[in-house]
Amino acid sequence: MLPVVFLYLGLVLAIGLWSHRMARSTGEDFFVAGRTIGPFVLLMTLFGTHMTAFALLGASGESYRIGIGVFGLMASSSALIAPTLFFFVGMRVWRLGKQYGYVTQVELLSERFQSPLLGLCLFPVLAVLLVPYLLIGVMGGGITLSEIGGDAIPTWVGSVLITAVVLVYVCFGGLRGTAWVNTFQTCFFMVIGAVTVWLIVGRLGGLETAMARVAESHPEMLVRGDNVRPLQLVTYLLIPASVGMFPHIFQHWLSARRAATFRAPVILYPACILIVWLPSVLLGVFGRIDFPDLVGPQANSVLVRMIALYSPGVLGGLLAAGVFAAIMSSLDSQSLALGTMFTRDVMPRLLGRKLADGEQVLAGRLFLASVLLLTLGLSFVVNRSIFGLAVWCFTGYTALLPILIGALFWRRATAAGALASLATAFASWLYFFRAGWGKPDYSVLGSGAMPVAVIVPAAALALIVVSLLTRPPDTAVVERFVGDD
Amino acid sequence: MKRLVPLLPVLALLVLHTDVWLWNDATMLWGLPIGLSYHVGFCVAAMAALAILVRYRWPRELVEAAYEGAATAAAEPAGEDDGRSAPGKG
Repeated sequence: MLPVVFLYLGLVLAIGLWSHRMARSTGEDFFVAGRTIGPFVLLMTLFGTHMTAFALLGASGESYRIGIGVFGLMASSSALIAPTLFFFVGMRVWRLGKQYGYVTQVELLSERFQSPLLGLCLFPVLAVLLVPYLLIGVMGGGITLSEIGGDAIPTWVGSVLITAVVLVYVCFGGLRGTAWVNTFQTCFFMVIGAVTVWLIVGRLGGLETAMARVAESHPEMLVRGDNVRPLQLVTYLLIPASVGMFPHIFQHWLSARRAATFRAPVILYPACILIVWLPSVLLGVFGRIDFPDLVGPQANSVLVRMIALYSPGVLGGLLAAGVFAAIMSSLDSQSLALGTMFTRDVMPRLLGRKLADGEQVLAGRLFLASVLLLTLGLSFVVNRSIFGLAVWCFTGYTALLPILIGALFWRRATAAGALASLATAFASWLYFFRAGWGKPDYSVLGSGAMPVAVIVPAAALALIVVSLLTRPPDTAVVERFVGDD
Repeated sequence: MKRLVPLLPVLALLVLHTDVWLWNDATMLWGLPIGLSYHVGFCVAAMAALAILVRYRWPRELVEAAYEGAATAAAEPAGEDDGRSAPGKG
């Protein structure tokens, strides 16, 4: 298996390095691929970036724990919410980027609200929320390699390997390299995911037999029953809304060549979700048949254990490479987004001047390298459920969404309102994080409602009330951002 | 009001997402537990709803605005974007 994984990593590196030949040494080319990405690459790269170890390892681990209900919680809700946000928010963001040259959320929101202070406060929040998300990928790489290689390979080896490969191709290729590699990797893990489930289900005796075996030993896995609560399902609809504030998704929106580029991603996104999540959830549930006693974070390795059990050899290596593909296709965009934010939002303030193109690219590379190495270091000391990490991260980003929605759709939204919303989101997120961290079934007052259902309305209310209490923003500025549509 | 109509399928799906009526139903449909097949069907329905959104609520004004004064407009061939040249078309 291992040689196949190494061969795959070599191929990914080659694509990333090859894309470097197409690059121009400008900040816009490095950070948003010169705004030249077409529909297919945009679909694949948005999807690959959105789906991480969370979708494969986390989803299969969680469905191993609570059964088929996971698909409704995260997959079908994402299938509707994410592309709807691409349509209403992503296209507006793209238009503003095209028209005024924005590259980061901080640039756009600081200008909309005429508030450098908002940008200053927003950067650390966006960056800090991204680090756990990066950790999910780095830890997922470690788990994958360790499981397929047996106990002989410690988890840190996979983490180091995945970090090194991503570091090299992102540094060389920038967003263009990332988009090309992501397209390849997303196609790869979608095909491999379908092949995996087909193979494993076949070896379990067919879908009907596999379901019957689960029904016999763990019937609670095939219904939602007490594993998912109705209020939990309703409030989980807010979690995928985090896609609207992910810095890495924002950056990919800006890379679109033209508005029509968004059509394919908007319409076909649910199909992509289906292709990836259905196998993950099914394999997690079927994992109960052969590995009935996995506990805690061990459940996240159920997918890799199934692969190792049913598809050893070259095919197993390909399947493991598929898991690597899903992980790296997110890790690259996330680290690049952090590098971009630092270069565009922080460095000019620190130096007191705008950076030249060459300086921007250099600073972006240095910062994303630092971020990846820091994440790698953290992965050695953190040992938490991948799914648990992701949901807190998503909650934080969703909590910031009212600011962007207000900026783009509400003329009356003011800087003070946005700052109040940010402070409310931060404080309430921190409160719930402290209350719920380490408790996988935590909900607000035990009602089943996710904390996001309280945090988002609170942040939106703060935006509305404080905006209405403060002086309206400059009409000329607002008109640039809030269209008639 | 006319602008809201293409949004209705998306709003309907938001409501239909919480399928409480299938909560403890272990019936099998398409080889899957019905609670799972329902959400597979939901994804397909989401594609249709989004296609309606793109077809009938394409933000033509936004697309045009992007070309007015855009620094990169010169590099873009006029009319290449369907949204500019086909009002109301998706």
